[in-house]
Amino acid sequence: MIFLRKYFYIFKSTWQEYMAYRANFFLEILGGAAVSGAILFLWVNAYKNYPAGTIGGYTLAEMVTYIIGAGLIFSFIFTTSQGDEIDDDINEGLLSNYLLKPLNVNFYWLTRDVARKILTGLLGTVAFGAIMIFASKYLINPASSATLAFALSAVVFGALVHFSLFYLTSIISFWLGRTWGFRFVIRVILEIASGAIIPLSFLPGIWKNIFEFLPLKFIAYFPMQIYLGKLAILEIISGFGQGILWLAIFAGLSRYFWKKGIKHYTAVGS
Amino acid sequence: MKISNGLDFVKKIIRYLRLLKAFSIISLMDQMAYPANFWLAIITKTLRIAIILLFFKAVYLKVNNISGWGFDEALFIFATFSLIDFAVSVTFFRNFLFWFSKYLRNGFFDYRLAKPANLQFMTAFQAIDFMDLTTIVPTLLLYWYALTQMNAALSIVNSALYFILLANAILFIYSFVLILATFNFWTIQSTGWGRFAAGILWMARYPTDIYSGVWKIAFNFIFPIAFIATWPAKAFLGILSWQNILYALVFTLIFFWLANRFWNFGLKHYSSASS
Repeated sequence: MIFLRKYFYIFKSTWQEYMAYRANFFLEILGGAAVSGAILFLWVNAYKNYPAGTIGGYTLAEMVTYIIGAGLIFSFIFTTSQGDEIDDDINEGLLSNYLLKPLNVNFYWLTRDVARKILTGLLGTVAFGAIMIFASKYLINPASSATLAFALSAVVFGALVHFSLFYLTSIISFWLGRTWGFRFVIRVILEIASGAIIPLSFLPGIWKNIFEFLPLKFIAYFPMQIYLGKLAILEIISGFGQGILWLAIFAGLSRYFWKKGIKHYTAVGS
Repeated sequence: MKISNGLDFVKKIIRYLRLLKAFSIISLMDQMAYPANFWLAIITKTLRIAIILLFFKAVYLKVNNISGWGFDEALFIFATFSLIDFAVSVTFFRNFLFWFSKYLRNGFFDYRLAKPANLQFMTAFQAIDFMDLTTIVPTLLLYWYALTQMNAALSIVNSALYFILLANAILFIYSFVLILATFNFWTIQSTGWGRFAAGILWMARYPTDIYSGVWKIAFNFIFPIAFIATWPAKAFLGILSWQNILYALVFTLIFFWLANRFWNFGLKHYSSASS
């Protein structure tokens, strides 16, 4: 209980800290919402040539719901950058302070990441709410509350995958100094490989296979597939199984690199 | 008298070009401080173009045309957008929307106020982004592919109009970015304005004919992101009216003038944020 309380206070203080930047976060999310809005218009126009049909197995309503849902998920995940903070903590020696405190530094970083994702998620709901109003006639509700619960659980999986990826590319700072370049690569690949701007099933052969294998799909594609009822229950279970496997791999790698890295870590200064 | 005025002007231009050269050298040294990140950033920025290309390919695998634009024409718009994006990213975009607010917060801007050079010029071109420089290669490849596939008849007049509208697009974005940057005198956001502007400008990657109703009027005439890629591409293809070309040029000039007025207004009301 004391363990949880400690991280609750970290969550609370992080929340207050980030609230000071809410306008900044909101502007970032608005930019993302504008891109999603443009993609929506693109699809609405594309469907004009297919008045009664589907494109790639998606009806217009499904596509609109997909783009808005995936954009919303992506907006609150994409704007977060816990990795940059970890990088700073290691390179600027701030990590030494945390190591002396009675807390698990990795949980500390994860708690801060969760606080930021929840805040940007709420702000994203406001920004995408406006798009939802305009597109309300196309939006599809989930088939059941169980579908919604599965989809939301998948979003949590995606958020954990996202944190793990950025965490891993940050703790290599123990050896490489500043590592924002690696995170930049992931951010750019995420744009398409997470399914944020287009369903992965639309991609040409080899790319579809690669991105459907990688864990990045858990960020937007997998949750939206569940939401739209495009996966059978066995496929959902199998998807979560894959997600657990990927998270276990990330956890193993994180533990290995953290243990090695912390032995390598040096800090200088007052 | 007139000759001496002309010479002064040339000297001024040379002085600012020298300043730009100095900014470029310092930027390169700064960006190369972490070589792994520098090279990764270069690869990634090239990758970003490939990813959008993949997006277009995926869309056009399923549909033949969008608002009358086929795959090759849409690629030509995207190539045009990428060229403009390259020009603004290498030069002023990040300076105004990412670094400027930082300099306001840490007091570096105050230090710059005392320098004997144009303040807006120094703010706009302080850091030249060499990591964006290589994106010109995939952009030119896109041009080559789109142009050979489109089979469009090349016309000197249309090509000249295209280049005029490209310059116009850069000036339009400069004005938009300058207005957003000026808000920093009051709000001092960190990265918000930059990401917001990037999102808005990225909308111009797609043909603006996709918009309908009030949005069509908004994005063509009120906040005309159509100026960035769609209208230059239409001018190249000879399907943009003279009225629209004139509108784009006059609008941008007025917008640029207003942006400068706003910048000066912000500057006048600036009170140092640092200690």
